[in-house]
Amino acid sequence: MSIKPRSKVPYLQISIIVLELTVGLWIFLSGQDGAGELLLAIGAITLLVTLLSLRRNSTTFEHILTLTPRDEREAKKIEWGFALVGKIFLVFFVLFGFGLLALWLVPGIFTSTSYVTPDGTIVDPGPEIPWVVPAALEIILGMYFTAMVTAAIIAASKRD
Amino acid sequence: MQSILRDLRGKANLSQADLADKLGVSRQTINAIETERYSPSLELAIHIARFFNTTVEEVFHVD
Repeated sequence: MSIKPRSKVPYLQISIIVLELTVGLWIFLSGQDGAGELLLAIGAITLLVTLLSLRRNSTTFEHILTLTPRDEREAKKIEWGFALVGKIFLVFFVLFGFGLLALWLVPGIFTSTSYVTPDGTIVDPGPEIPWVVPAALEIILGMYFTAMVTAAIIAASKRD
Repeated sequence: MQSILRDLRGKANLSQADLADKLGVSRQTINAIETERYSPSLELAIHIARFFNTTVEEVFHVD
């Protein structure tokens, strides 16, 4: 691995965060549930840590969390952290996929609320996705963010 | 891996941060090498040896 000069300003990363904040603000102003607030919160925290990592006496944790390694040691920690997250999520998502497949195969879980119009026509809007599916996906999303931050903490505190 | 990096740095009157700046690594990495918590790559080891005008074998050794 080549040794690169330290403390370069991550313009690409900051641009992506600003873009993410803009999208979050747009969603927030359009009044859609909590997605806008969530994006704004994640973007603000990420931007704060990124700016903290630009300090001269920045910590290894800040550089791992913002994926801006200063040298080979921090790069190795990031690689290790990502490998850990990858292994955990490979197993987790496979199990989750099997779980969804099992749900899909349960007869009658996808209920249909057909109704009769005043003129006697039966209208069947089709099967509805049970509440458990979007709920599980939201839990997955929350676990994903939690796992990313946890992996950064574990990688930063990992022995060299 | 053991090293005499701390001694060399002391003789050169450099702080860990100064040496880190000159080598293009973090201060924490210099500290980790000196406290034997991290074994540097061959490339970094060569950079360190060259910086102190010595050889890798002189700077680093194993029991």
